[in-house]
Amino acid sequence: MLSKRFFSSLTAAALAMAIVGSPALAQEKEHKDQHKNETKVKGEQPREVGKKQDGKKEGVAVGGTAPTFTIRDTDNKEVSLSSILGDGNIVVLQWFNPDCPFVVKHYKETKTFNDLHAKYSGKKVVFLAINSGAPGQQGTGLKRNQEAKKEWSIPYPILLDESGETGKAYGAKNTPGMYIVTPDGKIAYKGAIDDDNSAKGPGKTNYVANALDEILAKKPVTTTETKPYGCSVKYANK
Amino acid sequence: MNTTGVLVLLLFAAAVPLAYSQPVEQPSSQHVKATLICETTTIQPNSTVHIGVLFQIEKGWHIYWDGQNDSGMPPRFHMMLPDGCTAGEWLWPAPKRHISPGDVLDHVYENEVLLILPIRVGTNVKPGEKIAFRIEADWLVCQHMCIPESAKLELEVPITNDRTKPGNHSKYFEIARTTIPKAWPLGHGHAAVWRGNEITIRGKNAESVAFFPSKSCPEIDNLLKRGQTKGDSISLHFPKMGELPAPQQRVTGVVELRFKGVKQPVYYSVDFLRPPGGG
Repeated sequence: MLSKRFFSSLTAAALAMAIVGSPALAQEKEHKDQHKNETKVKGEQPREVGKKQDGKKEGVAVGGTAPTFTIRDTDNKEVSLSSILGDGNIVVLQWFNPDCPFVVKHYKETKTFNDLHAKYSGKKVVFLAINSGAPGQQGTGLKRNQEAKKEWSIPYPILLDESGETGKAYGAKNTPGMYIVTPDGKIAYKGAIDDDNSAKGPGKTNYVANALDEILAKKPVTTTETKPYGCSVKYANK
Repeated sequence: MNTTGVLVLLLFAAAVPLAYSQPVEQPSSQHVKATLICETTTIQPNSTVHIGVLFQIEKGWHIYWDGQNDSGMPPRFHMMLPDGCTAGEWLWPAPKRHISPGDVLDHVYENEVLLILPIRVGTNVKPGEKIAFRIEADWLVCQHMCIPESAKLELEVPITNDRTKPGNHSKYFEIARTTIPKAWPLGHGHAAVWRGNEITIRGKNAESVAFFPSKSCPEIDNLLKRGQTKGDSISLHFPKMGELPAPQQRVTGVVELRFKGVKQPVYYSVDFLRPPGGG
C-alpha cells in the first residue's frame, strides 16, 4: 500500500516541477553571459565532443581516462576536475536535475546523497553534481538549481553544463547517473547509485558506497559498472 | 499478497448487484488518465476474467514499457488477492522506440494503452454478490520533463451463473490484443540463426524488423542504430554474451515485423537460447 507520505511527496514534487520554465531572472541572465564558452572538456583522446568514434558507444569506459572539464557552479565559481584530482582526491560525479523524480527521491525522501557525502567526509572524496540540461529544459537555470541546493542542503557544488558537452563526453544519459574518478584520472565505476530503480524507496545496495569503500581500502572495485536509471538528461534538442 | 506489483484487490458482498461493470474513475493528473476496466459485464464462478488498466496519455507525452529503457520507469501495481482468486501475469502490448536528445533510447507507449491482467476466479464466489477490484498504481509520464503520477482505481463486477457478455470496454481489450506479442512461430519461413555472439532474426517477406529487448536480455551492441532495420532480417550483436552462464545466454524480447501495404505490424515474443559454442 502506498503511504500518504508518498502521495504528499509526489504532490510536492509536482508543485516543484510546476515552476520549471519560469522566466529567468536578471541574475540568471548575467550568470549565463559569464558562462558563455566556459565549459571546457578534454577527453582521453583528442576528438570532437559528441561525435562517435568507429561507431562505438559515446562516453567513457571503466578504466578509461575521465574527460576533464572546467565548469562554473551555482555560486559562479569555476570548478576544474583536473585541479581536484591534482590534490589527490577521489571524485564522485552525479548527473543532476532537481525536478527529476528519481533525483528528488534521493535528496528529499531517502537522503541518499547527503548521507553518502557525510559518510566520506574527511576521506579525500569530492562530490560534484552536474546539470547538463539545456536552457529551458526541466530543472535547468541558475535560480532553480540554487533553490534546490538550499532546499536540500546539498553540501557540494552543482555545476551548470548547459551546453551538455561534459555530459555527452561522459555519455551520461540519466539523472542521477554516477561516475567515480580516482586521483589518477581513471573511471573506477559508472552506473546507478543503487539497486532500486524506482522513483520511491531506498535501495538495498549502494553501488557507489561499495566502490568507494574498496577504493579507499586499496582493493579492486568488485562492481565497476551497472545499468544507470532515472530520467533522461535533458540535453538540447538537435 | 503478490509482491511483484502495486494493486489491491478486495472481495465483498453488496446488497444490490450492478447490471454491468462499473468503473469508478478517479482523477489522477493532467497528463494521464487511468481507468480500471473489465472485459465482461459479469463474472462467473470458477472462470477467468480479464481486467485492465487503461492509460489515456496526453498528446506528446509517454509512459514506459516494462523492458529495457535508458530512462524512465514502467507503471507499477500493488496487488493483494482475496482467497479463491489468483492473478496471472500482466500482458504488455508492444511498445514503440523513442529517442531523446543525447541518444537516449526508450521503449514507450503514447496516446492510449491497455495493460491486461487475467484473474482466475474461484468457486467460492457467490452469484448475486459482486467482486470489487481496487487498484493503486503509479507510473512516470514524460515529455520534456518527467512527472510521477498515481491513481486509486475501483471496479465492481457482479457475479452471476449466466454466460458472460462483452462489456462497454471490450473494444479496448480487442485493440490491445492486436499488439500483445504472440509466441514466435516455428516454421512459416521465419528464422533465427546464431553465429558466435550474434543472432540474425529473419521475418519472411518483412519490409522492416525491430527488436525490443526484455529486461533480462543481455546487452546489445549499439541498440540505438541496430535495433531497427529495413529488410527482412535484423542482426544483433551481444558483446558480453560469452561471459554469461549458459542458461542466461538467451535473447529475450519482442520482435516487430512490418509488411508492405499492411498498417498493423506483427509482434512476436521471443526467447532464443544460444547453442553451445554460439552455433
